[in-house]
Amino acid sequence: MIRINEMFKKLYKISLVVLLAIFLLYVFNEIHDLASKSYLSEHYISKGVQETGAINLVTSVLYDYRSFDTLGEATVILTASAILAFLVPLRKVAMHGTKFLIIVHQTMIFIVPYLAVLGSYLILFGHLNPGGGFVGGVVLALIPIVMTITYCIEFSEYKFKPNIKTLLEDLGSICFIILGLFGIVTGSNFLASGQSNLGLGNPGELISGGLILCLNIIIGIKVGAGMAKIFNSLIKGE
Amino acid sequence: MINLINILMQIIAYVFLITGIFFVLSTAVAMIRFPDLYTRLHAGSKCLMAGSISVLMGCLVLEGINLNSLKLIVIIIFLLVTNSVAIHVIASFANNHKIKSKTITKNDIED
Amino acid sequence: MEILYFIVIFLFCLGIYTIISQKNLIKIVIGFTIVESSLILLLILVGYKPGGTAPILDKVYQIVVDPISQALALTSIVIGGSVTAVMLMLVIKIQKRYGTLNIDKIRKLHG
Repeated sequence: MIRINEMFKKLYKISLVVLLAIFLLYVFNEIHDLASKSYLSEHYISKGVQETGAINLVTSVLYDYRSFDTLGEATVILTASAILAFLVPLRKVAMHGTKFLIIVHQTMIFIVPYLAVLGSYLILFGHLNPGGGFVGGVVLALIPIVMTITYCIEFSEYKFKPNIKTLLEDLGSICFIILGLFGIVTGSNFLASGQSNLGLGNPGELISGGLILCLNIIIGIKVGAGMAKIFNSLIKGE
Repeated sequence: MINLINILMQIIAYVFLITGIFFVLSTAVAMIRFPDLYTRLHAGSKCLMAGSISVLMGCLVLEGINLNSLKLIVIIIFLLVTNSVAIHVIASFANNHKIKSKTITKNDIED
Repeated sequence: MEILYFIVIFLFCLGIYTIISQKNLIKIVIGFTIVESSLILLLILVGYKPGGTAPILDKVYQIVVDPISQALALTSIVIGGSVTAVMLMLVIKIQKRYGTLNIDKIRKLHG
């Protein structure tokens, strides 16, 4: 009797999911061929390099044409980091650890400079090659996280103090808004780097594209500090 | 003559790619069906690295001698170094905190 | 390209079935991550033109893929990661209060 009851419940759940799949199949017939009738992406492809000065079209969409959405996304990371910092208890908690062999310590000496160089390359060349501020920030945040895992959490907080991480994250948000007000000072819209009268430079060099290079560096620092604080809060909240 | 070498390189690349797909798929099945932590670590290191290196070698043969193949060699070296050390860290931590294994083993270090 | 739309529907329904029918709290959080991944795949798939290349213009290309949908997918990945972090913190607090991770037992405890 109990077996038949459980099998009936499972069949009911599977039939609900199958109904959802059939409904989605009807909806997907409409959006089958959407990319060939869009006017806005034609404009971005044909006039993107001339108006903004960045070769990477995804970076020019994220940091010049739609930079207000990037401001909202930076706020989401700030909110998540603040929520997690509230839920951590005030007293010190103990973290389990072991003594590792010398292989692990030698590999740490190998890996940390490699991660630093890779993160800096992805941030600085974000407008010429695939990459950008967000990916570079996540790779830079790996260094405190790997140090927390192999050594204990007190050593990692002795090297990278939590006050400095909070300061970097707050400075990132404030500098983003100040660079946006720079567009109003020169007589154009908020967060405008292609429309204002900044010199754009030659497309294809390192220093080109107006405000895009500075925005990349600021977003990279902010996301890196935020991710490292989220990881430390999750470990301490036990 | 040149056409024959081209066809041979494509056949070698396809053999590498199909072997790589088989090994990665068997890693995914092994993670679910194995009964214990220590047996799952076998799948996570040996089987996964075999699959990844096969797929990347297939891409390397398709590219030829180019700048992109140098980047692929750097990726293979990085994967080899970090995956082994990460699995060693997990296994060493589990042994020191006395997580027992469910299958029957004989501890021959303490004899 | 129709087979990729079927894969998106399959992954979405698999994720929702995991959220409905699993008993462990961490497996429910994994189900949320699967639904998130399928929607990011759908965003990239809508903006594809047959025969196009990546939207980086260092030479002159004929057909270039739509860059707007890739920017939206980048935003969506970051937001999904932050929401997963907050969900995992709530799971830690529930485990400390009730002592178990089974949702049947958590519903029966009162006070």
